[in-house]
Amino acid sequence: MLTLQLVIQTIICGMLLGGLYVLIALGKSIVFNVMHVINVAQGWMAMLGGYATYWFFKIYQLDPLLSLFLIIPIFWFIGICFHKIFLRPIIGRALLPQLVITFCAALMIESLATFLWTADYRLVYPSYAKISLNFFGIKLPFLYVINFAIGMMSIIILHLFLTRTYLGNAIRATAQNREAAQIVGINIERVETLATSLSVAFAALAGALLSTSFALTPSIGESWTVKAIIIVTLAGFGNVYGVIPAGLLLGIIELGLGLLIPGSISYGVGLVLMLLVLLCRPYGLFGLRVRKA
Amino acid sequence: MIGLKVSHIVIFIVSITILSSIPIFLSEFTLHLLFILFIYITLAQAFNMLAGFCGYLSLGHVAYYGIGMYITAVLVRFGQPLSIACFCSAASAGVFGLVVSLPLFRLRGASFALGTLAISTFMHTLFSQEWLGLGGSAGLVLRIPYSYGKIPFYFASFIAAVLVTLITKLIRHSRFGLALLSIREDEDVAEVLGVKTLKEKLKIIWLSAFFTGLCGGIMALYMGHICPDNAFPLTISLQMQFMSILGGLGTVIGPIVGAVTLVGLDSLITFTIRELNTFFYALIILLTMIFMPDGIWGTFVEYRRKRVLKSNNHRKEGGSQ
Amino acid sequence: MNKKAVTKFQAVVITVIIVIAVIAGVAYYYGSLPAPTPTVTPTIPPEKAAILIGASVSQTGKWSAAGVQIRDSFIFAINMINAKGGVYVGGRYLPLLLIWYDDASDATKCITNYEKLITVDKVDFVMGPYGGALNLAVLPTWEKYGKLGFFQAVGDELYEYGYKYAFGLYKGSSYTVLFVRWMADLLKDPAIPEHQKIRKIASICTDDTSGKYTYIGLERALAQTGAQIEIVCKEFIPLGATDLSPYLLKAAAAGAEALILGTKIDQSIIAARQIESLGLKFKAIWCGGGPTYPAWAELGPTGYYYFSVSWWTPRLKTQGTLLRSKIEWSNEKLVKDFKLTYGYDLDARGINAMISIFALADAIERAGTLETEAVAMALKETKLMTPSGLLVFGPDNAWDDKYAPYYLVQYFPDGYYIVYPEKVDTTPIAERPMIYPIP
Repeated sequence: MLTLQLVIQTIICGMLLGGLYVLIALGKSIVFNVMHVINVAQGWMAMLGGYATYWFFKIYQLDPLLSLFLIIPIFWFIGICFHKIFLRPIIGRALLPQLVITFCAALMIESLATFLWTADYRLVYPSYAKISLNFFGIKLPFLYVINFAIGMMSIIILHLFLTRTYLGNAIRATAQNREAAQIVGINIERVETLATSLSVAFAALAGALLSTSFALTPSIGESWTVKAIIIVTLAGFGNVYGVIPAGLLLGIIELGLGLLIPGSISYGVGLVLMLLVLLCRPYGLFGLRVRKA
Repeated sequence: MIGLKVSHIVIFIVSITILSSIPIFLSEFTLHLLFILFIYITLAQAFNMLAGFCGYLSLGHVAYYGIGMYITAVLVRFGQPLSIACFCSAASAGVFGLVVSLPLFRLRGASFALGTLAISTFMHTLFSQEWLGLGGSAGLVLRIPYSYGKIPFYFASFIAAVLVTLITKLIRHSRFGLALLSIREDEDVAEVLGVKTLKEKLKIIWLSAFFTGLCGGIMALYMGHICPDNAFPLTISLQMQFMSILGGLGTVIGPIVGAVTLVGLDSLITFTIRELNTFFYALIILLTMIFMPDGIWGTFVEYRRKRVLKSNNHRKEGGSQ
Repeated sequence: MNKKAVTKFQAVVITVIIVIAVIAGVAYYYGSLPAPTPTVTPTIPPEKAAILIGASVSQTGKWSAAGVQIRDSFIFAINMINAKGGVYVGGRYLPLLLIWYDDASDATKCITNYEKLITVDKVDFVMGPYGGALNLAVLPTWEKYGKLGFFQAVGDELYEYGYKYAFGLYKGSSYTVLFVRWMADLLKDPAIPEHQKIRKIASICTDDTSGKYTYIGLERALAQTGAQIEIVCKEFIPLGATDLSPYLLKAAAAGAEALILGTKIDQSIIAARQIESLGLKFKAIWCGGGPTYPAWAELGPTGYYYFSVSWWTPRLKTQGTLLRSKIEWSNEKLVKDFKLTYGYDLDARGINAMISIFALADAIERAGTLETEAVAMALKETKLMTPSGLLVFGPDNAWDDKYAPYYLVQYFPDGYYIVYPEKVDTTPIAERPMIYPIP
């Protein structure tokens, strides 16, 4: 029953899946590090990205991968608006108002989406989604691999952006020490807006890619946000790049345990793990021992 | 008793007398609404105890609510009289809160919040499992004879709300409350100054979980049927947070104001605007949060305080001139 | 200073004790009063203008996909009946009126809605929400006030608690019956070559009550037909599972020839895609929540030839006459008119709602009164032709298994059609010949 092939298959699929969740988690982590704001609405942004892909696919027959070139700028702009409307008032405020306000934003988005598009499931199913690659008897869906590749590519681009460009360095500087960054002359306002746009664009990217694999409905934002929170916690709040291994790990665990333990308790394990991490290694599994958020 | 004014006591007694004598005049639906209102007030106060006074945000408070529900259900099935069942479930929710928070209290702020969230979500998954014998996803049925009517429930929730407000008020004006406030402001300094932070935190979470579990127990009897979706609903967690913050964290009247506003808003929107009611509901809460960041009652308290300060300043300036 | 504080404190404590004692005494007094019994008017007062039906519909949240259609279907059915005057009861025709509120898929709100509907709006009958947990929460409220109603969900557990006045139509455990019967027929048919017969099946169901009951129904159906079919793989998957490949691979590895998917639409879509991309081949795949949903069309060729169950299709040639005012309806006309009125296609969930209204109206007429007990008795004796088939209630207030219309459907490139049974008595049912084996 439990052949090695099955195990490896599960692990790899888990990794691929986790890779996508990482994108949402990345956005969350960036926003948190720069502004110390937990943006609960991240998953709902991903949902919007998914719907945008769906409508482009349905109305203009635009291939989902190509529509990424449209979606990223659109959601960059949406991120700027989102920042100005929702996030600016809550920077520097206590935790509860942040959560409440961003969650209200999420609720508003979800109820609008349900009103406009109904809660029926939608599907983006391009023709090449059927191909499956065969590595020594392990079957991998082609789409998963592509999504994973795009995800990894985006992360590399993000890394380059953060380290090689002025704005990127400004973001990192603000994350490290806000006051010092201000002294040095960095425009904090612009940096924060940039961080939000970045994270929303990433969330939309994740949503667009996820929508090619899974069915969309407005309430899916909730489960994506929860996964992102788990990943960010596992990675540790101060660590942006730690979300990558954390996300992969989560994917593997959820899938792998589903194999061993019958029933839905396997999803609870992700939560238990998060709890353990919080208790025993608050800086995250892959975090650096240094600063606490 | 620091700062306990006679006027407060008078208002308190008058309102209790009024509220306990009107049920016989009210319609079924008003009774139901008031029942729900009192339950929400209790929940908001319980949440406020931990979040407002102590500064610890517990996102997963619904875990205690659900445990209260389930334990009541189990006890009632074994034939225990209802009030005993409620009390026992509340007490066990309290114990559960203690047990769970003992490790969790090592965390602060956001980590604590997430930890509690993880626990409540895990509870939901756990209670959906068949092998627990608690009915899995379908849950348990409690056949309470309907001849009880609503009035006992009204009083049960009313007493709970009164008790919790009373206890909150007493805490606020006691040394215990002072200790909690100091923990909220700066926990390490409090520890250094001699406040036994862990002990105080455990005490408050026992109280908070007790009342949350009590609400769960009463609701279980009222609903008649519990299942994981009804016992650990995300909406209760959210509403506890909304109510507390809308009313004003850290005040005694704040959660009451918040609960009344929220229940009123909810009913108003549901029974008038039919489409998109979640949208308007969230919008109104959002706007209130942005313009009245301390909550409705909290802003009022702040305003009063500023006025007192201003008049004090004027007096001082006049004197020193 | 100290002394004063202590005295004040004592005063407060004493006052509180007195107040609580007073409250407790009052509560005890009220509690010992006999509860007011709901008054029942056997005759209909002349000033009553309409029969009020109350419903709590989920416009938002988990169950909202069906909520909008159910509400529109209620209104459609009610308008149909009102167009000819309404329901004949108490010597005259009374129109039906629907009062509905949104419950955002929250149990407490749902209960509040029904409290308002029953006690303030004084509805005569209720129609249920869609969604197992919501129904579980409100059925006790219905019973408390002695209100009769139809719930719009399909869970078996709802029938198990013996709510006398709660009626429903379909039960999840009977879904697989016809598929099993078809497989049994295959085995018995000597004309079918051996390699097309199915002897081993796998079952992948969700780990909640509906999945559980699908599986239980499967086992029961197998036992009933006595077919020599073995369940070689039995999996219960978490509701949130986004990758079903391990389970599918397990099923294939166990040598299953047919697959039963007791999953909801989102996981069914994932399963269908993964079966395709993993290159797994099954002789037949039955999918509970799948081919009958609009999203399935987006799968394209991947979703072709899947089997499912449906209690209705738009092409069923059912027709009949309703009520004393002789409302003539035919299934096709219903579908057309619905599309014209609302702009989207009617599907099985909406039909559930419509049949509930028809059955209720019919029972009210036969009972001749709005009284719950009488209408309930009348409902139990229902023999009503509906768009789905002949409605007869079984002892547990669900559609009696003997008449229950669970048709085996198959998904073709242009939609789903009934493929089995070919006929019931002499009425031809199957709309298209089945395609098996799957190309």
